[in-house]
Amino acid sequence: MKSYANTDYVVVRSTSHNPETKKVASYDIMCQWSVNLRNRLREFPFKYAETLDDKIVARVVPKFHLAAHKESCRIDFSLNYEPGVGRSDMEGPERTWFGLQGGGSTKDQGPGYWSDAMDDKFGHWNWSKLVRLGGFIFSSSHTITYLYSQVHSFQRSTPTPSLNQPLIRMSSPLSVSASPRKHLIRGRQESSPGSATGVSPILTSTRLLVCLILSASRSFLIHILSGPSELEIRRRLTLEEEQDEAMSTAIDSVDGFTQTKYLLYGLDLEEQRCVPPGLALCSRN
Amino acid sequence: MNRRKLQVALTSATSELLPTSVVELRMAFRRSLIRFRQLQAHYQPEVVPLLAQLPSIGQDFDTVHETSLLLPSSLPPETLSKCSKRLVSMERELRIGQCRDSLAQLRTKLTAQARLLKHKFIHVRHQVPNTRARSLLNRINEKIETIATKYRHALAMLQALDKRGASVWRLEFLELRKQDVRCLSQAELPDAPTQARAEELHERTLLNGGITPEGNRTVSWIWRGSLMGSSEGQGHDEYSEG
Repeated sequence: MKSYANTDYVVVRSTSHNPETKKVASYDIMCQWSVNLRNRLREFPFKYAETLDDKIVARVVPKFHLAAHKESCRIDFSLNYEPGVGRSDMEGPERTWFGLQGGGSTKDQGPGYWSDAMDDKFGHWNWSKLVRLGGFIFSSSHTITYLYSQVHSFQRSTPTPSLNQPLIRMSSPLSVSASPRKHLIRGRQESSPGSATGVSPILTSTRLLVCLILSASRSFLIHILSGPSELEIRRRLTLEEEQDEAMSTAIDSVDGFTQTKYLLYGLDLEEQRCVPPGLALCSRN
Repeated sequence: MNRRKLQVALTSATSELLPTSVVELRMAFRRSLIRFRQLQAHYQPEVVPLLAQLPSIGQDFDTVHETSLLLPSSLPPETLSKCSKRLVSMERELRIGQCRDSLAQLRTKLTAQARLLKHKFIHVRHQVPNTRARSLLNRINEKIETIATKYRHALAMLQALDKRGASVWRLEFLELRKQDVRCLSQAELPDAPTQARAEELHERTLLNGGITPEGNRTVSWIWRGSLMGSSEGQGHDEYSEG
């Protein structure tokens, strides 16, 4: 419990201004951290903290870190299978390490000076991000226009009702307008009265694409085994026979071979004939 | 080394020319087979008349590996009906396990093969490294071939044991054609339903610079898992509520 105290505190405090917003949470050890999250959040003295984990709609592990996890984590916490996250890798926090270099080492600083120095560095990081934000948003508007044209052509080319109906909730057919900004505003106006769910067309069309990608990616989920392996079946059959023998007094066996053992012997023999062990050796002779 | 090669090794040469280790293996196999026949007389008494028709184990050394074991799956229907029910159901289950295991192995090996091919394409240059990479690839190709053969055999045996009825395994294990043995990334054209469609796809492929158009590629069924899986379509619900 105690070992997650720092992380929990950071999560609770940083969401204090917008506790109601739905969040996608990524953490290097999300598979462990999220296990008893609700119980730990209850102990915080803030009312909003209790239901905070309801607002975390997706729990993922950043892409670089996920490779070191075991198979089940790689499916349950993968960003690749998460709807709505695009191609994010969620490794953003790691990238600050590079930007925090310079300005002297913090190793020889006292606690107070160290804290101030780190605040300054992160403050500068945030400020320079804010400065670049304008250009970023402007360039995104072109991308959204492009998205609209893609969705529009997609809709025209796929008349399948099963795909269209549950996924697309657009109030009017889209047209690509000349000015990207105007289009953005139009999209926002339409969203409030038009669609029943209150989701903006931009979001819905993004979801449409994500849904399509997702439905394709589900089929790429690698099922390691869909049921018991041959070895497990062998073990089960042998155990069943053992139980049968315990029930009855008469034991049917020849030279210690029971019926099950006989069959397994036959299958082994067949295998031996197909791929004899050690034959790789004789090919070198 | 796969079965085909083994049979080539065993049949193309007379006993005098075979390597010692192959002769030893064959001898061991023959001894096991004699033991097996003794047990078979007890557990599958109905096959004894069939055994008389097979060539005697003691005489023909060169064909001993080709002799049928006469497990329930390879029996003619009228003999199979006399066979122990328990033996038949056990073999059926074991064959299902074999099919499942070999499909999983096939997927692993195909992934490795794809990775090696990519590595060869990107990093390997000049004659010596290329020869090495090629021989590594050949080894893995042989393994893939062996596993595919094993799957086909296990499926054939399974089909012989469970001839009719809508069994669940029919959804999981399909016929493994040559074109089905391919990696996730190795897409191919789907079977075109009509001649006109085939021509259209061909034309579009040419227009696309020889590459199959994106929307027309399919994934081999071996990557789809069981068709009865209940996890299909779960993901859509969390989306549609917006």
